[in-house]
Amino acid sequence: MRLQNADLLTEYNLLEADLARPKVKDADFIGKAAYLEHRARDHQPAMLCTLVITDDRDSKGVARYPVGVLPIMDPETGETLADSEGRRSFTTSIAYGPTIGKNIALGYLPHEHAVKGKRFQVEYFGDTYPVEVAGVGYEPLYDPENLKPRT
Amino acid sequence: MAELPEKAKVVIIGLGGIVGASVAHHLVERGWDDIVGIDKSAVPTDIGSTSHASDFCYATSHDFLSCWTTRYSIDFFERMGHYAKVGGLEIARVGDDGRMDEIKRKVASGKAFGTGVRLVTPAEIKEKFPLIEEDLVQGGMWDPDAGLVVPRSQVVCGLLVENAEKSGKLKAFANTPATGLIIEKGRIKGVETPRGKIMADYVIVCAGLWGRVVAGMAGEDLPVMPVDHPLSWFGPYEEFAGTGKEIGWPLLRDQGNSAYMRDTGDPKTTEGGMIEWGYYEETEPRLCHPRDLLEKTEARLSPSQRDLEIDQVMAPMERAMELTPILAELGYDEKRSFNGLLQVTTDGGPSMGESQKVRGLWYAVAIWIKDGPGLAKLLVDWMTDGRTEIDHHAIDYARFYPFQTDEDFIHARCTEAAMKIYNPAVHPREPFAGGRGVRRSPFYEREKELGGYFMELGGWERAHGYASNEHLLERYADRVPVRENEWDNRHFWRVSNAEHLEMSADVGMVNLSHFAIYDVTGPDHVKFMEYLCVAKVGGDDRVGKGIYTHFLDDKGMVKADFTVFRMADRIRFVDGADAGNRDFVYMKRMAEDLDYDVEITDVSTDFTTIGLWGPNARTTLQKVVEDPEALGHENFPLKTALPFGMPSAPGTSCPSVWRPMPIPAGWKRACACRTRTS
Repeated sequence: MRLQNADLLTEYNLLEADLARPKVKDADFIGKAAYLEHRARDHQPAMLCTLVITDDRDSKGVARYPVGVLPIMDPETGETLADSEGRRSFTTSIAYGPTIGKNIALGYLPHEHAVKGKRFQVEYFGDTYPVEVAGVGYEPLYDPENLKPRT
Repeated sequence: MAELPEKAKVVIIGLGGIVGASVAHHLVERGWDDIVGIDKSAVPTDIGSTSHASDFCYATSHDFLSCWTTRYSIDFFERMGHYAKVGGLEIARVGDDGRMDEIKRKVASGKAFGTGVRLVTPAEIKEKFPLIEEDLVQGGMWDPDAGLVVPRSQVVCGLLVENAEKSGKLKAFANTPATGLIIEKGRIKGVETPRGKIMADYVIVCAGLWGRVVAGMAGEDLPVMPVDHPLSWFGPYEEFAGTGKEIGWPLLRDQGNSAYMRDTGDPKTTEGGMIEWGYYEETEPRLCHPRDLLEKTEARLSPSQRDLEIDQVMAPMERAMELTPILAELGYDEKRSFNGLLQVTTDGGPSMGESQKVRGLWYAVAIWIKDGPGLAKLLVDWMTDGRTEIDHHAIDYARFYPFQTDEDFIHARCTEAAMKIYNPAVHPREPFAGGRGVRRSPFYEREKELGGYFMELGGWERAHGYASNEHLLERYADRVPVRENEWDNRHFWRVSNAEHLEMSADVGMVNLSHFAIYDVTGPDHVKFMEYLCVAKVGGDDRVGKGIYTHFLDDKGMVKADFTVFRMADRIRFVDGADAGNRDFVYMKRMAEDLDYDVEITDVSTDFTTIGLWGPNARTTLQKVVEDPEALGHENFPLKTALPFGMPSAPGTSCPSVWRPMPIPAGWKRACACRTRTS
């Protein structure tokens, strides 16, 4: 689930948030021209991705449950990712998900890094933690097919 | 002095401070002309907080917007040749591990938002700032971009105004207070002053400490509050004699002691040959309502510089002398020391953007020097383009619900904000203690009986878990970890994870009364919402549907997300508590600007919302409704809205509030039931 003022911002378009409709309605609406341009692109500069922390232990061996905004970094260089528009990658939401037993985060990743299975790191209180891209765009980790509400 | 013009395109109230002067500069830069700037006193200001500001800049906030505006401002001052980029330290004392943790957290925020901060060792700190006792420090952070606006931000204001005047686009009038606003049919028409009226299409309030007084002329209030900030001076300090420097050493912040210090360079410079030590009150901040500000003739130093008694700061000053013994060696300059007024706000953000009551009246109030040019740029872009390049939700004045501009509420929240300017670190989930209990759902008393753990959102008291469910912790013991780290566990209740699992396995009911709900009615209501929303909401096939959709801005960027319910005679707009008022104000403005015949009514407190979720939600609901068959799979699939009735339930705690619901329900498969609260 995406939340305005956290995951949804006027710095990103509806396709980057992966909340675009399958079709565009005939009627005109505010932002339609830009929305059509965004839809015509091969891909967006960034995508809102779901990440999971694959090892939550800090440097003292304590399991951590991060809150707040964490930078998403390239583990090789330690640099925070940035997309072609200069927008930097950080967690827009983060919470522990008891159903899957992991810390789950959302964050916009540059197009070239928005690949399922890719690994990065986040920083929290001076320690880094490995994360893996578990979903590109709207891909819930629990009931991914959204079958449960249909029963 | 020149005659005050009878009219102008734009009037800036409070031209002489960093905000007014920066707004004038950016208006000219964006092609505006026919601008008149007025100020209650001198231009640049001799009475506003800019006149005594410490003038230093650090880019070390935990939020993206502040880092952006500070970095913009630093570049702006630097391009003008009025910035000494000496760098700045934040240190943690030995024994203050909480502060060291906060510094580490700040470095991570800096990496997220693109500032240059990094951790430094005690040895590096000593090397950069030799006045410090190295043994008392366990570590710290270095911000290479931190520095000082030189010679004073006040001087920069004078230059900005002078340049804007030279462009022929701005006329400046000192000693010209705004005594009234001329408002017709909800639109600004001009400003009254003792020297006459100026009619204007736009009025921008940059009046800083007096901002609330001006807003009061429009019948609204700003959730900001002036507070004393003790600034003390020690000298003479000759270290940088003959260097011509405005500042010699880097800036030093000792937030664990809620204090900072800096030198003032060569004795021959503007403020030279001293050390300034500043403090923010942690326990008993002295707030001052703007109506109680003195006039210039009444104050010893100035209206924004109140007298400081050394007793007010003795204890932290002694701790400062331990860390930096030079303070004890130099003489305390009592005459020069004072309480400088600055502003704190109810949620950490300034009041920016268009008035909620008066079109064409804009605010830019409660802004630090370090953010002045950056926020002025955002304001002017916003006025010019209708949008800003970075998201402005955190500063938009429209974010405040009416109760959030109540005077007592402002006082309570600003008092807490004032106590935490430097210390302690503010947790991302940190609740306020004051201004609570403003909105309570019909279930509040029952939730209290169940041992609800309440937090607040949009004024609503929301339970994040219930003590009555703690038996579930046993059932799910292996799946609900104990959070060993105190920070991770702070303002969190473990039972909420167990409730989550129980709901996924069976059924759970969630109080969603905090949703903001607005009814859009009138002849054009469908046409209007069709033009605002991305999804198709028009057409007969949409009646009875719940549609999750968005507002975009002109650039196709995501401005709002919400759900609309098409009803026979209206569209019910259900929004998050955080964004509700902002989106409500937006819809009203769009209806006015685009001339749609609609009425938009806040019905948030007329109805409440319940989420009933989990695999057994349907069967559970069927047990308590009048006609269970009506809620079967065929009649009530995903994304539908259905009215249904519930018999009152004798013996339950709230039989009287339940009644048949002649309105739609449906949040995914679950039902959003609405019941009157009054």
